Amino acid sequence: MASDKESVGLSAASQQRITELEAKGWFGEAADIARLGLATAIRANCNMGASEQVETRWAAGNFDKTGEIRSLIRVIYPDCETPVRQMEYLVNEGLRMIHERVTAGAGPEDLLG
Amino acid sequence: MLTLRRLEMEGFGPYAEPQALDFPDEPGVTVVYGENMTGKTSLLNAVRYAFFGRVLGRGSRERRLHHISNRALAAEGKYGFKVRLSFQNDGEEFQLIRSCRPTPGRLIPADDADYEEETKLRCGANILGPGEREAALHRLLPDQISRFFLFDGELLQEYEKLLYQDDDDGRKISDAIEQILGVPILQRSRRYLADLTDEADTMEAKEAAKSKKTEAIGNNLKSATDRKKYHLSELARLQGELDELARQKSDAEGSLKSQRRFLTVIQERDQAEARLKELEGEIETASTALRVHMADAWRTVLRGTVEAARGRASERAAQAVDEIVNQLRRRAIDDGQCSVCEQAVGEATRSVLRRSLPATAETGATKASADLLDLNRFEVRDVASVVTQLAHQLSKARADVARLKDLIRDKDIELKDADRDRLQGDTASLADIMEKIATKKAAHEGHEQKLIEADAAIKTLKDQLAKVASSGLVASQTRSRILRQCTEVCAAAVETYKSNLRLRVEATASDLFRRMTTEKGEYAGLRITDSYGLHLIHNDRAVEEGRSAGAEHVIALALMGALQANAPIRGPIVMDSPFGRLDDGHTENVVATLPTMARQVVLLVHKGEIRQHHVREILGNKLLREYELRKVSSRRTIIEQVR
Repeated sequence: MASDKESVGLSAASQQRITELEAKGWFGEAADIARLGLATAIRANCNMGASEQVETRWAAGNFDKTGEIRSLIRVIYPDCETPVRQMEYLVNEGLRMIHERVTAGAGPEDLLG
Repeated sequence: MLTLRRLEMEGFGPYAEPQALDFPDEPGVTVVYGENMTGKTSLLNAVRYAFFGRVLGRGSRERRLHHISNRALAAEGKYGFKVRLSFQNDGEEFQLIRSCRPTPGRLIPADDADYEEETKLRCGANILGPGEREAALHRLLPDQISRFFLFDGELLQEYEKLLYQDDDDGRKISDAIEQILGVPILQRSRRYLADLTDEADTMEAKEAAKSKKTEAIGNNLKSATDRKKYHLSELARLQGELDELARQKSDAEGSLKSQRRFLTVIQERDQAEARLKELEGEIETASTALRVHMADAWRTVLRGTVEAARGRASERAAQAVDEIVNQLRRRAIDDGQCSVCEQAVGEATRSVLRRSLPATAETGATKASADLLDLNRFEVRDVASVVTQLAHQLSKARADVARLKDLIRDKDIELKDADRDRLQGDTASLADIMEKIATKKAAHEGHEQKLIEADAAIKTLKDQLAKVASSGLVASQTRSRILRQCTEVCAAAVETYKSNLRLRVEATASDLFRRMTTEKGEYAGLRITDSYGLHLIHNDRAVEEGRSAGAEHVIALALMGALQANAPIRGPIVMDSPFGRLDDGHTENVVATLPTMARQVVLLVHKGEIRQHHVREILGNKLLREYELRKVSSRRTIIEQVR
């Protein structure tokens, strides 16, 4: 079994998506978008998984400064032994979901609903 | 009385080739028919140019002479024009020639500065020198009263201002009316007498100062007369400056008026731009707030998930605890011993009990507790409502921004012909002029008050002097007293004359109005105001409020005729399309009244205003001559006599 990562990375597609979402001017920093992506994926009952061909973007400690995300992943994915990888997977999956909705015309208030 | 004989023009307006109008000597009407843009107004302007060297356009604004040159000739490289006006006054024959030519060497003039003007006035066989010429022209037809002899429908509309005494233009018109009626000469006489009286007071003061008995009073009287002289001088200076400022104000208002449509557009554009800036600020503030709240968006999204997970974990923890308790009970029943209470249990039995307790219950409770701990670390924040509000606010603001930008673009298109610098300059200039007028008016009022105080002081001192004066002062006191009484009599006489004059003008105007109106028997006549405005009086003696445009027109014409009939200066009336607001009935009545308004009337009209055969029927043998303006091309008109 793969050991856990220490950083959260983004695929090329996720990098592009996050750039487009930043251009909307709704978010203060890219990490806010990534966290929203993660939350969106969890809410959508995303399974466990791993992202491939990612480029490191954030140190896990910076991305999850308070440890809340890691705690949540422990509860929601009790069998997960690599929480940071799961974090990364959820971020990339979630960014895809958000990007789809925004491209279809969703505003910031729609992403929360 | 001034009577026109012949008007010749060359290169003036649409009159490229030399064209002429001859005016019969007998009293009556000459009619010139011309459709729009054939040159009727140019004829009026030719007479105006001959007498005053200027040409008026719309809004009575002076037109540049460079633009008067005939366009067809200008296209051939020939610039400039000439007007020759022959007229007679009280038996003397005059010929007035005024020409405007490019300065030598200026092949293609571009502005008035590129022209030189020449004026000649011949009286009989003599050509008058410049000073004599200007004095003669001013005596024959002063510029300030030209509006009563040369006018069009637009000038007629200005008489409505006479009803508004506070209006500067209204006062200008009433001053012009008094001038044509000869009032200024009388007012000057009064002023001269007042000046002589002041001089007499000064002499009296000097005489009094020579005697020890009256020295103190004499010196005080001298100071008071000096003060009075100073205030009079200041009042005259300030009045001159106010007159000049009034002229500047009129020019500035005229300039702004011609660009009034741009002023409104600029105002709307400025308002839109100000609102745009506000909105951009609001958008910036809301965007910043949105970004701050969206940092917690992930928490809002997970709120439901976390709450559900907490619920499940709490349930699991409760179930695990129940199972543990049941197990302990079963053990106690089976073994006949209680592991919780104090019943002794053998070592062997305790070992058995420990081994048989279900491990999963403890693990389950431990896991559930751990989950709850993890879930309770999550800080729930709900920013949905504030994000929704900010998003809607931004959406609306951006829509408003787009709308305002479109509006500003549209306004910029409307303003592409506007000279904004000039507009801003004129607006600022007018504001500056208004401020100066207010300041000078306040100063004027101050000096008026001081003048009253000086006069009162002079009277008191003269009364004191009368009680103690010696015989040496009798002559100067008598002179001063006589002059003062003459001044008062003159002042009273002028007021009486003005009052009688107004009544005569009122009577004449009423008569003319009754002839021209179609509502015979409805109106008693006209009542004149102190500023020569005319109220319309119904038969029930009530003033007719809210007069129609047509009524205003007829009343203005009645005033013109009344002034002509009562003025010491009389001359021809040249009127350009004066029937603009009148219906057929009123138009016919006005035409019928023309021969009574002045000895010589020149009517410039188009056939849409009144049919040629109607004019002939109405005027009969008072119609002396008819001309038609025929358009040869868009830039050339010729004058043809038809009768």
